[in-house]
Amino acid sequence: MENHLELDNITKFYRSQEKQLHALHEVTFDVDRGEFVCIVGPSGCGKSTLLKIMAGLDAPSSGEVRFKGGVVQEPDSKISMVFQAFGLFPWRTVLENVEYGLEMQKAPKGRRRDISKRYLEMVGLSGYEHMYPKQLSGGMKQRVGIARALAVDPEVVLMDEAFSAIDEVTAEVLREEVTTIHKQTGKTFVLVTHNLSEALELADKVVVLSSRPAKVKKVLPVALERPRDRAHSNFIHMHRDILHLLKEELENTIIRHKLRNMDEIKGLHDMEAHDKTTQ
Amino acid sequence: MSAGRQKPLTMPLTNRIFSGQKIADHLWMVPLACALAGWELVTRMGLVPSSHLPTFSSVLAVFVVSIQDPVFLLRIAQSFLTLICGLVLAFSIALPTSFVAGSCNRFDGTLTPLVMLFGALPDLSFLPLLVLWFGAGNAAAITMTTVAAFFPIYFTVREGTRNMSRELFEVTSVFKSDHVSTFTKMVLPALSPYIFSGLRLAYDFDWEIIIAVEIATRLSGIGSFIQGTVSTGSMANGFAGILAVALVAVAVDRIFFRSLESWTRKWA
Repeated sequence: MENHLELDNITKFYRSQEKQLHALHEVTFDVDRGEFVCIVGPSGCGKSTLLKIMAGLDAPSSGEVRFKGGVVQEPDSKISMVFQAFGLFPWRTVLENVEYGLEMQKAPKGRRRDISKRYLEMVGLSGYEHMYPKQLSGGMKQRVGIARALAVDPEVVLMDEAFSAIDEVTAEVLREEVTTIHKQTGKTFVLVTHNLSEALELADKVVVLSSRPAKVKKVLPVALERPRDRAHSNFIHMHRDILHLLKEELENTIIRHKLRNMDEIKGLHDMEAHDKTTQ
Repeated sequence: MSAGRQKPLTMPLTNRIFSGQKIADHLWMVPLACALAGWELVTRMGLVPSSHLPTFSSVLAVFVVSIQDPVFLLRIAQSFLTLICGLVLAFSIALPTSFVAGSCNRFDGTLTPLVMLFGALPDLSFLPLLVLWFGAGNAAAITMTTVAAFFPIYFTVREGTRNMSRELFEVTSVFKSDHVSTFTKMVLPALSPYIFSGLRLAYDFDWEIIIAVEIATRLSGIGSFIQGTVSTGSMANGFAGILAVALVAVAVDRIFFRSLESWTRKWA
């Protein structure tokens, strides 16, 4: 079977003011059609960069992302995205925001409106069509973001820390709804998150990334029964295992930093010694 | 405790006076009416010689006659059109340059210090030079209003561009917006509050500039008209001219800029 979404040896370097930053190192994993994949990793490890590369917003330094066999080089109309800070246009009403993607596809106005209304209903925002984003709470804004992402009928929905900027109770409700939407639509979801419980609640598969440069540390299928129960012992065990992996990573980073500092200190000593001998 | 007890006593009173947006909206008329009445009183009583300050009622009378005089109206129109020319020119130069400056650090580093340097010079000091180059005509006046209007538009739009959200650009990319749509449906609306406040500042500046230029160059326009009334001693006409300028300035502000701002206030 042909893979739906494949990440093949993605490496990414950033150049920022003389310094070269190694963000991603040979990241390889597959996402099956209809699968819900969560990418977790220590903060600042390059998870969001990885998602941007999958969205075609950023190019890898080497390696490639393939979607249904074709290399992703620019945003694909079948790959949609939900943004961390919601990414809503403040000058557009809720309805106009949801219509945006269809408008860019030059869909006729009536169709645009009908489809958008349907998705607004799906995320529970009927009756809010003519409000502006500033009048909505964070959770409601993200519902608009989700409706907008779904309105273009994508095959893959990428979510960048989609629940991080929302209060926990609202986020919990929204996660449940996203699970339902996932089940209903059968679309592929990829969520980047630093929240392990969130990942275990949603994912069919969790990809654990290491600290920078991010490598795939482990790919864990989540065979827990749905709806997921946070209090279930299997849930707790998996949570603990992943937490353990991430802690290991953090410790590695700290040790690496320390070593680097020690190198620097050693370098200084050498220089001092050198100065003394030349004097 | 005592504060809690005082509140109900004072609150209803202040509420009664300041309640209702309608009254609050028109409160400015009270000091204005007082000032005008004071003016009338002082001049009527002869405390100020009428050669220096005509009575307010005579100004009003002259004003009513003047606004039916095509020559007078033409002079106002002349000043206004010169101003608008300068404003439009400045806008069409400042918008692209400030946008590029706001989005590209290297360009910003090259251009903005120069703009600041140039902007720090008193605009009107260039007037004699401009008159020497272009003659005391509309070219000099339009150049002057363009230069004066450039700075506020440049700096506000540059600031707006710097504040533009990176995420929204990603949204346009993800949903495959073409360059034209990205500009018209994302960049322009995002910059609009900055553009409007820049234009408004520039408009206010330009009224000062155009009047000064007309007074200095004797260029036909409402500025030289006001200057002329002082030398001929027909002060009431001069005040009528000032009043007309003020009314035009306020009317444009209310009709044009307020409606633009009420659009941005809906969502911003």
